[in-house]
Parts: sequence; C-alpha cells; structure tokens
Amino acid sequence: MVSERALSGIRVIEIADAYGEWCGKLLADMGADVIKIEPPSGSPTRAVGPFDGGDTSADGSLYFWHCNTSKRGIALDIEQPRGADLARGLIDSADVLLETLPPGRAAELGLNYATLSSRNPRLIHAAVTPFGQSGPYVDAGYRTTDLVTMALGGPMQSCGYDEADGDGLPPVRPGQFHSYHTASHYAHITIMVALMERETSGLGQFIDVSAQAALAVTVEFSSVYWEYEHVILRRQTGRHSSATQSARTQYICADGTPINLAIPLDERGWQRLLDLLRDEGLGDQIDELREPAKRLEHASLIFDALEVLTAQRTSEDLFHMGQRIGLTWGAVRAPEDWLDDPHARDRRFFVDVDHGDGRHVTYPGAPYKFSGTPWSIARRAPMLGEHTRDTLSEIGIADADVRQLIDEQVIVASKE
Amino acid sequence: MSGALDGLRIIDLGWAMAGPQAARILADFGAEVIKVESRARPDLARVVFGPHVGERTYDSSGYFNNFNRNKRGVTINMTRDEGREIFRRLVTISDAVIENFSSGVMANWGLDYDGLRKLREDIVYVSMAGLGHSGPYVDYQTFGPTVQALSGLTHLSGFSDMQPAGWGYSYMDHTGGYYGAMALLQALFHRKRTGRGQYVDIAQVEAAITLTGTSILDYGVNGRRSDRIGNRSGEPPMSPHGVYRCAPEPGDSIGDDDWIAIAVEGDEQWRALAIAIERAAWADDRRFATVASRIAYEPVIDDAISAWTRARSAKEAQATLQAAGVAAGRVQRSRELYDDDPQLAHRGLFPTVEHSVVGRHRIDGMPAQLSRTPATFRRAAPRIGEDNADVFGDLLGMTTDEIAHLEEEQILW
Repeated sequence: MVSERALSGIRVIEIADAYGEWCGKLLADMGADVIKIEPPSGSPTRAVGPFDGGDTSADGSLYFWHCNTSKRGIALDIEQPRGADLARGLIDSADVLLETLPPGRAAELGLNYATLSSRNPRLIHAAVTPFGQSGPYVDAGYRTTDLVTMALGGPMQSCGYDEADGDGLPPVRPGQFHSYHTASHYAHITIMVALMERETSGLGQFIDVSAQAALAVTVEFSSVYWEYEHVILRRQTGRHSSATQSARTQYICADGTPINLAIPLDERGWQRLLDLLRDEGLGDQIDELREPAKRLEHASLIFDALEVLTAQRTSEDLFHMGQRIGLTWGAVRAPEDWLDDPHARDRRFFVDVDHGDGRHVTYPGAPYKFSGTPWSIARRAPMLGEHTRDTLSEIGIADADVRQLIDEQVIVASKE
Repeated sequence: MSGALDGLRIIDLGWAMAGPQAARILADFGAEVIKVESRARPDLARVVFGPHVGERTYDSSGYFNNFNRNKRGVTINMTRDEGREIFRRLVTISDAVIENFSSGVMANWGLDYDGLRKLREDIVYVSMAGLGHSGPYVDYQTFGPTVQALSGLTHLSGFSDMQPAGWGYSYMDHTGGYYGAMALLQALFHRKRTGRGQYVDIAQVEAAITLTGTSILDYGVNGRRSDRIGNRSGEPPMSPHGVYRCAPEPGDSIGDDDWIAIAVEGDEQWRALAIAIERAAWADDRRFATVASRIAYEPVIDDAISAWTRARSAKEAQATLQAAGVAAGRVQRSRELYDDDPQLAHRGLFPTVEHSVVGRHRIDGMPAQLSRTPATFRRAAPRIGEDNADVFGDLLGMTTDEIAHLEEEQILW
C-alpha cells in the first residue's frame, strides 16, 4: 500500500544552492514533487565534499546526496533565453518556486515574481539569500560564506571557550552549515504558511528569507540580555554563554569522552544526584549538600565530586546512570555513534536508501514521525540530468525538441 | 490586516523554550494560540530564565515575553480532575495541540493521541520530547544542551585538539521548535485538504542528528569518523579561512573582544585580500597561488591578517574587505544585531511590543517577509492567567462568577 503523503500533489521548482537545498529536501521527503533545476555543469554543491571514495564527479558528492534526497533533477541552462523559457514553463506547472539567485538576477532572467505570478497567480515564490532581497549589504554587493553569515548572524558570539582553556581564543563556528539549515527552516515554515493561506485565498505570494536574519532570531539569551539589561554574554566552554562565569557542565570521563552534567534545577533532582554520588562511594564528602541552604556556600563540593565521579566512569555509563534516575545528563556523542544505538534501532531512525547500483546507503531518518503521512526518502539524490527528459515531457516538450535542446547545449540529459 | 493563519486555534502546552518557539511562529502569522500553563507547575521561562524586570514574579521575565508574544494565556491546573475536564472542553474547539513535556506526562492525564482524538476526531497533536515517545530511552529527559551533546552537534563544534566548545546556547530549543512548527503546519495542511488529523512524534535528538551534515554518510560510505574543525573551512576547501582579532571600537566599555570572520573563496579573492591587508606582493606570490598551497602556509598568512585586523575595528575591517570583494563579517554580538547592523535594521527585524509589567521592549521578529500576509506583532506575552476571562468566558461560556470560583479553588490556577 502506498502511504498518504502530507505534501502530495504539491510541485516545487527548486533553483537553489546550499541556502535553499535543505528546504527542498524537507519538502520532498514529505511527499512534494521537487524538481531541481541545475546548470548543465551541475549545482555548485555537487563539488562539495566529502565524496564517495575518490569519486569527485558530479555524482559523487555526499554533501549533495544528503541535501537532495527525494528530488528529481533537470540540467537546464537558465542563462540562455530558451532555457529561461523552459524554466518558466516548469514554474507555470508548479505550486512553489524555491530559489537562491542573487537579488536582482531573477528579474534579469524573467524569473521574478511579477512575471511569474502574472502567468500563475497561485505561485508561491520563496527567495532565500544570505541577506534578503534589498538593503545596504545587498547594495554593497556583500559576499559571504557559512562562516561569515554565522558571524554576522550572531550565533558565534556565544560559541567558544573559557579564557582558562586558552588565551585569546576566538569565537568558534559550530560545524556543518547551520546558516544554511536555519535559512531553510524559515523558508520551509513560511512556504507552508503560504500554502495554508492559499487554500483559502487561492493566491500565492512572494517570500523573502534572509539567512542572516534567521540566525539573528536564533540566539536565545543574548538578545534578551542586550535588550533588557544592555549586558553582553561571555563565551564559555561547553555550556551557555553567560553574563557572569557559571559552573562548568562539561566533564571529561574516564574513557576520554566528555559528558554534559547539568546540575538539577529542582530539589528532587538534587536528592537523586546526591544518592547517586553516595552509591558511587562519594557520600562522605557531600552529605552537607542535602540541605539546600548549604549548597551555595559549599558549591565546590559538588563540582569536586563530579570530577571524581567522571574520572572513574565512562561517559556512556554515566549518561545512562544519570538518566535512569531522572537527571538530564547527556554523553557527548559523535553522530555516527547512533548507528548501532538500541534506541535509534528500536525507532528505526536510520534509513537505507537504494542507490540503484547494488548499493544501499545509510541516511539520517525522519526529523519527525507522522502517524498518518509518514516522512520518507523516496529516492536518492538525482544524478546530473537524470530527470531532464521526464520533466520536460511532462510539460509537453516533444522528444525531437529535447534532442535539439541537447545539441544546442540548453539542457543535459542522461541517456535514455 | 488578516493573518495567513487566521481561524486556526492551537493549544500550546509548551514550556521552557522548544514548544513555545514552535507555537510562537504560528501565532506570528495570525493563529489563535492559547498557552495553557499552571501555577502548580510554573514555566521555567517565567520563573528561572532571566532577565527579569523589577521584582522577580511570574510576569517579569523578558525571556518569557520574547517566546510567548502574540499568544493568549490561561491557567489550568492539570493535576486536578476538574482542570483536565476544562482542558478537554478546550480541545473539542481547537485544531491542534503541541507540547514538549517528557514522555508519559500526557498519557498519565489520559491526554495522549488516543485520548485527544476521542475529544476531537481530526485533532493534530504534535509532541516534542527529547528522545521521542518510544524506544528504550523513552523516559530520558533533556534540555537543549543535552540534545546538543547527545546528537553530535556539540562534538562537531570546537577545535579538534581541544574538548568541544559546543553551542553556547540552546540552538536545539530554537531548532526543535522550528521542526515543531514545520510538523504542525504540514499536518494542518494535510488536514485542511483531507479532513484527517494525526499525531506527530518529534524526538529532538533525532531532528538534531539530521543536522550533522555528512557525518552519517561519510562514516557509512568511507568509514571516516566525524570531527570538529574549529574555524577552518573543511569542505569546500577555502584559505585563508578563520576568525581574527580586531581592535575594540574607540571608547567601547565592553572590552577587548572584537573579531572578524574572513573566508577566501578562490584565487581572485585571495589577491584582493592580499592587497587589502597591505601585502600586495603576496597577490602574485607563487607560494600562495592555490588553495592547497595557502593551507600549507596558513600560519604565516594568518599572522599577517591578524596584524592587519588588530590595528582596526571589526566594523572598519569588514567595510574595507567587503569593498575589496572579500567575504568578511564581524562576529556580531546582540548589541550589534539589535543596534548597529544596517541590514537587519533595514528589515525591521526587531519589532516592539508593550507588556504591562516588563514595559515596552523589542522582540525577535520574523526573518522571512511574506508579501501579502506578513507576520504581525499584536501583543506582548500574557501575564499568568491574563486571558482566563476571555477564553473561559467567550470560548467555553463560563460566567464571571464561575471563573472566579474555579480560580479560588485552584482549578483555573
């Protein structure tokens, strides 16, 4: 039985680099028909490693695989008038255009909202860019990368180390492209808002997403501390940035792996923590802490006890010991540590995707489990030009024209 | 102006941040979000998370105001049978319920999906426990930092020869909230088209694992374990690529902590950078001609960049380098985000709302601008129980006396 999909029947044309690709994947994995238009040389993200072994061809990028599941792909040169024409034809058939073109470029290509919506008033056109469609940084032609957007957007102000861990260490960018993720999250959310609204009004609209702005509202405490108290928070190793130095929560365990050991916020948690320390043979030193009133004065006792505890146990041991008695402890795991974890297995989190060449590749699975319309990866990322013929034939382009377009280098199509 | 989500009624049982973040986005687009809370179990965001304005009360938190604007607020004591009965009546007239309790809380109240569906067949129910609602760790509890530690996000942040720096805030409370909002909207969209509700089980740790980039694929395909790379580019390779110390703005009382991020994407940008930092001879120096060779000479190049950045403010360095065509941006603190970034100011990212206790303050607005149905900021966060009279009176038809009595009995509490 084919499952019902939340976004079945919704067609998305994606002309997107890293800022929007993740959004396209989120829509595609929920059942939208996402058609990715790439230049004949391939999306620039096809050149981003790591690669499938030594395969640095257009079809070997694991980064591209990860961000483009469940999509179909057409290689089409929108820089040529005939190519832009074909793109408009595809967009006429679509519910959503998701694009990451530099501001102003869409208009030069005749792919701007005014042009497209006059042909297809139901179109939702989402433009995802580093800074948005207008403004001083756009006018000045600002260039950026994930690192620079993460700096200008605010997350990096809070990420780094205590001074005691190294003199003059800079703010640190958390790894794996969260400017792209965060821009895509807001793009996805607002495309869904516009789709909901369209059910009533029958009309599409234009959505301008700024990655920098998306990050700037994803910084938690630092914004309210500035707005209310004009206080700047200081970076600290492995825990929240803070106006004044707070106690460490990241300890290195006997196996060399760190663990996050938050001190309980409630009295029941405190008593359970003290029980655990007693059971671990550390009771003599910390009994005074049973009384809440004495904890501030003897704060160092608890931290000394945690140092001893972590030195005698592995992070995995402590993670489970703490959690079994209701403490919100978390081992600092690597993502791949989950591959053989019993919880992930029980929930069937990871999924094997058929790559069609006799291989099955393991991907991270559903970010959310829908009971009625499940998330799923319908297919691996498209190879360059894999669906050029199918998608053009769907908008009525004859085979003979397809051959001519290939000859004129307007499109690239994989062999029939 | 009518909102995109006018007419939708969402019950927000969320507390702390992840749940409230999810519901906040729907409220910003016009959904009627009713935040249900109780003095019997006060929201951490009201009582623990600062900053507080004046005396610390349930209504004095700026943090709470930021994450709960545009919502109505009611109090229901869910530990009481009568309280849960009133909650059930609210469910019958609502479209969706979202919560981020630990697993088991809703089931103990008879309000898991089966319980909710009996009250309203087409209800959408989104639950966002840290590790989800099944599996051997179902009873484990998390806050944002726990989710980040477990998922690998912490492991991937920092210098490889040091312990992880991690995230200096609860990124996954925001981002778990974003997945909550996506889940609500997708399920509500499906319901609008088919009339069918459903249940969504979000394990925030699983959502976070999907955000660890190619870590899983690289391990499966190449057997390579993931690592943190500090401020180096990783993939795609760029050099120079880092964060460099600048001089403080003259007279700035905040101290010596100004930095600029610089990322050189290709050989043309390298030549532009070399000239901009007054090392023109390096522009055509064969030692630095390719990314690979520049990576080999990184210590030399980084020293030269630092010497140049240290002599000027981050703002000046950013303007100079961007004018030269080099990707560069200062590490902006919230001071700069709120008060000194012309681009964010151009977008009007931080609207103001008036709260009767904390006063007039700016809040984190909506980074996506919709041309026809933009987000609107109509009210500050509710004081605890502020909307009891309106919600229980207008929506459930209770009399003023009845509501007062139930408040006195600590049921609407």
